Amino acid sequence: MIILLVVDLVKRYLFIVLLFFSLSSVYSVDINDALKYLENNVLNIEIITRIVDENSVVIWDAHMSRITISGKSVKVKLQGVNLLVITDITPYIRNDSTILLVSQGEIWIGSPDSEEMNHYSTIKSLPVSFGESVLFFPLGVIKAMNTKIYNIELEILVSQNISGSGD
Amino acid sequence: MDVGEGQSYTFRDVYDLVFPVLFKVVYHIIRDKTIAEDLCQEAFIRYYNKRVSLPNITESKYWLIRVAKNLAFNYRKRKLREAGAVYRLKQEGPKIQEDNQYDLIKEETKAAVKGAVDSLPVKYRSVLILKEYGELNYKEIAQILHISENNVKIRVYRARVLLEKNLNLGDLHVF
Amino acid sequence: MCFKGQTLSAYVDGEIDVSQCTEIEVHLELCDGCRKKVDLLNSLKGQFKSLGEDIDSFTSEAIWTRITHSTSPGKGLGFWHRGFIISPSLMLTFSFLFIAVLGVGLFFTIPRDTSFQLTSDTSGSLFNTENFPLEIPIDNVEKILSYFDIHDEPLEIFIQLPSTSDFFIQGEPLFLKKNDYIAGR
Repeated sequence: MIILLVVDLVKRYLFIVLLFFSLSSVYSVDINDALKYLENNVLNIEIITRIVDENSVVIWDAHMSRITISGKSVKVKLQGVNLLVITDITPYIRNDSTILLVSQGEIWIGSPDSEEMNHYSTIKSLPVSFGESVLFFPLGVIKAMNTKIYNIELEILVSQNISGSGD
Repeated sequence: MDVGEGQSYTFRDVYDLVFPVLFKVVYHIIRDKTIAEDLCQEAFIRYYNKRVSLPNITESKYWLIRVAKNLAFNYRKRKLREAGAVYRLKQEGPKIQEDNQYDLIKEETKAAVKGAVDSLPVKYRSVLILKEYGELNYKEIAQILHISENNVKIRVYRARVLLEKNLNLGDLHVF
Repeated sequence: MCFKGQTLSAYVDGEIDVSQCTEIEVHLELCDGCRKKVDLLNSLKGQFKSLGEDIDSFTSEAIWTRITHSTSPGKGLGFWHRGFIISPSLMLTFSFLFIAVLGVGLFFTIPRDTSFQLTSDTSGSLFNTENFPLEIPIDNVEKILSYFDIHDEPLEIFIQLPSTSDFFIQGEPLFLKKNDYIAGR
């Protein structure tokens, strides 16, 4: 009797069941539509981290890139002996095919003879074109030229990625 | 079976009085004997569960006819929606099987009348079926349908006008 | 004066009172138009008679038996699947439950790929938070979509700076376009 009842209900409300299936199919994304969307929204973020001396000579660097999509952030963590830098980079594709790069930086830095950590933060939104570089100086820009010190700079470059490429 | 007003009556009394007219009404809406039997049964079962609240046998008769008519029209509407053309074809009447010219015309006429009645709007079809098959008078039909007697008179007339138009009676043989 | 069509229709049905009936009958003897109308109405009534379906006593008794059987306490119904009366609200409740169960079942049976393979990076020192080398394979967009499905969190790059020296704050942290920086210098 239960089976007959269910069959009768299905027959009567088949259109509801079909509607449900058609709606649920929205969640099983058609891969071609997804790929098409991604082709227009996939971005490659290239990050070059450099340690430079007072004469802007590059002492050390690291290149990496990440694939992301418009609105999805890439987080970079730099850890030193007395330093932690967290940079959050979020690119947004604008209607005129430029990028709005929202960048947030947090720096924790300690002095060598103390266990205290100082915290600094900054946030900036910069409209850039594809391939246009943005620099981030987590420790600021070197002012004193005669002192032997090292500085950190990050160069951030956003480009459109269609075929997909990485490190 | 004649059951007078004010006398006590049994469920069987009601059944004997009402069933013949009920079946005719339902059958002429549904055009399927088996389904008509089922719907009549359904109407009587519902009546059985409700009969204590009806004052007399006449009210019982009207109640049963009203319920059966609604069941029949609802069934028909549902089936038409589900089966569409197949059901409509079935409703057009019996297939013409006779070779005899006389019977052929008779069957064609019957099919034409059935089709014409089926094409009437529900409110006109109801009154016509209750009048012609239910053999009820205007007053009884008014009480069943909860409309005025004058309204019944107008609806019966309009149903006949539409029927005449649908049948184009100039070509119809009367037997 | 001719009578209205609905009056003649009621006359044919025998629904007219005696006095008016006589009036109509007198008129019909004189008016061809009204007589034709009445003849037509009568012929229509005749058509219905030809469609009449007779009830045999066998059918009547058979249905009575079914009714008494179904209304007797403790007895099952002859057509039991038909006799199971469901109210519209109960039917609607069952329908929603059925769809909900179906929906939940579908949701939990959607397969998810949890065995996504990651490869190592080669430049610099690159670790994830669990200290395993990682890289997102990005040779095709399908894998990206799959990756995002599995790892719905920010893409992190962890860099261990060389421990050659300490670092000091030079000024305010700064974001600026490279061209502006070069121009500023």
